[in-house]
Amino acid sequence: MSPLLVLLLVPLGAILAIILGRFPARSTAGIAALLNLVLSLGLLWNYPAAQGGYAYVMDYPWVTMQGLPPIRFHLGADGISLPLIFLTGIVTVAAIAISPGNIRRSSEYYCYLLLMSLGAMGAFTSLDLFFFFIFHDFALIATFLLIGIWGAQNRQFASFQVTIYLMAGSLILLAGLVALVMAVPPAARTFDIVSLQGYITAHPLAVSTQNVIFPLLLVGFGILVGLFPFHSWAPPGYASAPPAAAMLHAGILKKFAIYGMIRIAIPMLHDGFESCKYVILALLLGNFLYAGFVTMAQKELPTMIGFSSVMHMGYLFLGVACWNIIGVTGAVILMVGHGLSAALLFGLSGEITHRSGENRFAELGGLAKSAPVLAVLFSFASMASMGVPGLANFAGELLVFFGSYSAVPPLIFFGVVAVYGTVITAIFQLRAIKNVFYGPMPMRFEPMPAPELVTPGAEIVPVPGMTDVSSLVEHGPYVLLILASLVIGFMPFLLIHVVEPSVSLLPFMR
Amino acid sequence: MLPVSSISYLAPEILITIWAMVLLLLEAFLELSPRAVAALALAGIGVTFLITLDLDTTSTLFWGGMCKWDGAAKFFHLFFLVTAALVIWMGDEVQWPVSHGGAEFAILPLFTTAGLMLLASANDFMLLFVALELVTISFYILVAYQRRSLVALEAGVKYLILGGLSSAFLVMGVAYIFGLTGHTRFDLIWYRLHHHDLPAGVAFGLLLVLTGIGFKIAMVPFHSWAPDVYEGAPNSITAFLSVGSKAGGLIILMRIVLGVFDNPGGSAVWIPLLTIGAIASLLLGNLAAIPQRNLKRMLGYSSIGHTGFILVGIIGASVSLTGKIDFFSNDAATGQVAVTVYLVSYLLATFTCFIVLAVLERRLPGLEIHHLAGLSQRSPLLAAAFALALVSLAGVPPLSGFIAKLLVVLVAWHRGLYTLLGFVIFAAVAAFYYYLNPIKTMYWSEPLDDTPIRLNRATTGVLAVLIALLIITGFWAQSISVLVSGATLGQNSSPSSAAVALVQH
Repeated sequence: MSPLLVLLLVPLGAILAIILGRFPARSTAGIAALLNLVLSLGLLWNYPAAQGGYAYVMDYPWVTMQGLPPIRFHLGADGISLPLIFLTGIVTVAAIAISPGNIRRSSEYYCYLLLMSLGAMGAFTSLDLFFFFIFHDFALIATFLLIGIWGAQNRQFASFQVTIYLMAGSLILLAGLVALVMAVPPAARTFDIVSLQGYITAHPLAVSTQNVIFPLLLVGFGILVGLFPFHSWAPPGYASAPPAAAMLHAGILKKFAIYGMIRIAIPMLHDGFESCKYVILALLLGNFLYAGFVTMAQKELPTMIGFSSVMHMGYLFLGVACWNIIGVTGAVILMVGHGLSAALLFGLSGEITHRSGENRFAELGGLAKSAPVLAVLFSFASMASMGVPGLANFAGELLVFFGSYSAVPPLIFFGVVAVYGTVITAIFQLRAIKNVFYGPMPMRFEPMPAPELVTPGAEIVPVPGMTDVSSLVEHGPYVLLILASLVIGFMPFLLIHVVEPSVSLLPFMR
Repeated sequence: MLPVSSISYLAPEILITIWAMVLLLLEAFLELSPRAVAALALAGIGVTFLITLDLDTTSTLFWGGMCKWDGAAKFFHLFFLVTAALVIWMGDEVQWPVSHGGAEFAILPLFTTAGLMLLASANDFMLLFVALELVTISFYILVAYQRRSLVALEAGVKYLILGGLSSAFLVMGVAYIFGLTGHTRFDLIWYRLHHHDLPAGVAFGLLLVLTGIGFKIAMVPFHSWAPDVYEGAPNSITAFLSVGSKAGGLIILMRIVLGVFDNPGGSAVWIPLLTIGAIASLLLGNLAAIPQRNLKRMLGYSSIGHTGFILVGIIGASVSLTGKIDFFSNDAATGQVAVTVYLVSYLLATFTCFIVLAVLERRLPGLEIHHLAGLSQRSPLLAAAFALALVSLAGVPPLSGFIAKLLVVLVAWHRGLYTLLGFVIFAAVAAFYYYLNPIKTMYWSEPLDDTPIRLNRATTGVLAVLIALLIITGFWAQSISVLVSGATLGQNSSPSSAAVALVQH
């Protein structure tokens, strides 16, 4: 029995307790999430970082059936997955903490949030393709329901679009994974990632086979992560999702695809990757430039953040495409950094929308006056997203730039575009801060005047007002995420020491 | 273990038939209430199930070679008994009194089941025909049971005419095969043909037989009855048709094409025909289900689509594909495993769907998709059960249907059926669309009437068990593997010397 199993059993137990035991949903979910966060921190701390490789392994035969390659229940984590497990832990806590306690159908709501977290945990801890895939699918189904039931305006359309898009993506991915398993001779067929990798390292697949399977995986993962031009589901989907679901999906679940590229697609199909490398690079230019400019043109806060999270996938793909130690390490660290900043931005954007009843830039403004704490938090989140030094994204992005420089052949051009991408990010994030928090404030956001200050006889116009995040309960989750980002930003070596040895063990790593 | 005399392999059929007749008499003379009859019928099925479970799976011919017992026969006997139990339970518990009283509603399925079980072990075209008629005739009554409903009458007449037509095709085909080979026993026909080219007349006969079976399994282009009959029949009977009758057609299809005609000459006839049928069923079933508004019609079309998926497994089970004749290679048996796994997962999901529909039929103004609006708030269990069943039929992991579809895909891939594989994947994707629609309505729309729907304890229990099985058989597929292990057709062996003399005569 491995502690990783506990990571899966805790949310599962909480779900069962909520459904069958009728436990109070929010507190049960919160306690489960906190437990997982503590446990994931402990696992990260306790991991024998210097040597790399899988730790906390458990491996049981699961299904041996005629006609089906053997499936094993194989859990394990290394320096690449442990940071993501930690990310899952911390973002889940924040997502549950920012969710309102009085939301309708609350037990269902918190079960779906836990299911998303469980799915992400399962996908990051599984070393078997079957479980890797179905855990992610679990989480996707919960995402669809969260958007469809608790989403904002236009939720029916958005959730149906996201459902069909992502289901198509995961089917293509499934086709690719099955093709990968079936590409080896019958005796060696298995869903087990470690055994399959071992076999493929010893007997590489024919280049022509790889050139068929790798594009399938690339398109499948590309749809799930929002690689240009497969990104069009993301902005409207995130815009209408409830903030907690957007935090969990954009912060964690999307990283599944990058993780899959690092763990499965590129190591096992390296020749296919080499032939598609420039296709990936061309597409990620689309992420930087097309999605970047589109982000600048957005007129609503949630859609803007949705597009910006699409844009930032370009950095991750660039780091992965370098396929050298420094670039991939950077991509892993940036996954954590982006997970934190995306979760922050989606959570805060939900907070602003909820409190002001407005999400159009043209109608917002000057909110720093009535909601100073919110303004500070949002500025921090924006700076994290821009890659300001001292926050986690900076560490990751810098490593990715270096990676693109030292790649063979050098990908300096793409590195330069990526640096330009930070300029684009700065433009739209600063504009968002300016439009939301500074400038003239519409009258209706003025704080309600205290009754004794109102001159007698004057007509009192009731205004909705705009409240700030005041108590620790309200701003605590955001502070937690910012703190994590700051710690990684100031002490990136903490993570680099964990990630780098495992990355250097990946096949074909330069 | 029972003493293995050949008659013990016929025990399930004998027990069920006698029990059905006893119940008819009891009902007539003791004036038992229909509920008591249903309970007795269920008890009879339970006893038969245990006895069948105790039989071994060695391949044996018995009853003068009319019947064959093997792993597949045992699997299908158990499969039909479970189906019948669920059907009788539904008729009694869930849709009472929609079925207008009458203890026959619990007794007739017993006769159907006896016929289906005989089909599963038939080794002779004569027995096959008689068993098939027993099945079909009892279905004529059951389909039109709600005789005051116009829709039910229409369904009954359609089923009667097309059922009669298909039987006629089948008999005609059997006549050709008998005329040119001189035999009606499967193993003797196989022995006669497996070294020779197929005479053109036998090929024609096979075509007619496939047509007849095509009606039973609702294969395109012989599917046109399915949506109408599904819509008109009582829910439990629709489920029976959709699961039991289809599985009955499939086992005789397997016995005939895999057991008799799986040689170069025969497979040159049936593999192309079934390939066309499978492709047409996959396309038409899944595409025509998309615009359907009535849930039962939608499930009718989707069941046509599932026939397509299963046919891929049957084609993949042919040894002629690899050129290895006369022996079931391991690869070929995999196709049969895929078929059995698919049927198990199909049974679970289909019954879950129809139990939910039967509950809803009395409580909603109709069974159109929009009537489901907000069901998740009126009854979370019903909504969850229906949603999971549909998602399983769609083949979403980690439910049972995923493993079934995965196996079919792997079989098609492994046996080089790449054209079929393409259509399978296309159909699976198209199916998502219509299966998701009711789920969307149940979960995302607000209910017009939000009074909670209460379920009695038995229904809750059965639905919970079915949900659990849908998840367990998908997530831990080892459980389904235990069920279907060894459920393959027995190999043909050279007939005894007496039979050889008969052939050469």
